[in-house]
Amino acid sequence: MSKDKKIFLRHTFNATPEELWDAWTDPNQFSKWFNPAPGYDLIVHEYDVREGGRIKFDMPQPNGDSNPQEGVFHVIKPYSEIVSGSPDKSFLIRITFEKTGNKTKMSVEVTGVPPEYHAGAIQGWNAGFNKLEKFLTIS
Amino acid sequence: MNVNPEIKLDIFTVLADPTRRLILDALSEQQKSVNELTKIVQINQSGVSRHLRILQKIGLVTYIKEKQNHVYTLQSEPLVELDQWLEKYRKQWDLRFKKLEEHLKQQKGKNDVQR
Repeated sequence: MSKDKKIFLRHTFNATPEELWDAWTDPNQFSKWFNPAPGYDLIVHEYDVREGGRIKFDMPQPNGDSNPQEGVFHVIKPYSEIVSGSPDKSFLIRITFEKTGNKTKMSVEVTGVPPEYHAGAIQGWNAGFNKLEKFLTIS
Repeated sequence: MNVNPEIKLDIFTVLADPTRRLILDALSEQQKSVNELTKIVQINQSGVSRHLRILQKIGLVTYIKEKQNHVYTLQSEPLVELDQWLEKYRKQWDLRFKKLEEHLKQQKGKNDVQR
């Protein structure tokens, strides 16, 4: 896996690292915000928060797609770091929390191509992605 | 180089290689021949040709024959597509951040009521 294929995102939250940690690791909380589709929650089937623990949830889309996702937790360091992704680590999301005063900076580092985009399940995504595939596939 | 037709080359893999990025940087200034590119990237010509073939397959460069030379030109369309792809992906995370912010606010409210 190349180290170059990374996407970095960062956001500072008006919360403590503990509060953010709970939002990530409590499946009831996680289901409330992780689905980017506005107004839609996740349907969590498995969320075993420990290293090697399985993740399985649906990320329903407004167009009716259930958009099932699966993965594994690779690293769990309470209040500081979570690494999850595909079992073979070809796709990884690394989340880190850093306290800055009353706030917490959360960094997201994505390595590899997110599997949800292979499925093309996010609404409005398909057209763009199919076009991209055409460019990127050796025939 | 034999490119296995079974293997899909994606733009992420193609751009991950530093030599290929160097070639693209050089071509972004202006079109160049294989000889000129060989001088810039400082690897042997067959290596440069191999990278150029990969870049051509994915649509990032095209060439024309000028006298004895192949002159390569950058094609930015796949990069634009990649950029749009990344932009969409970032937007998904922005939406998550917004929902998470809202969620944290509600959690704080809940905790305050409990106290």
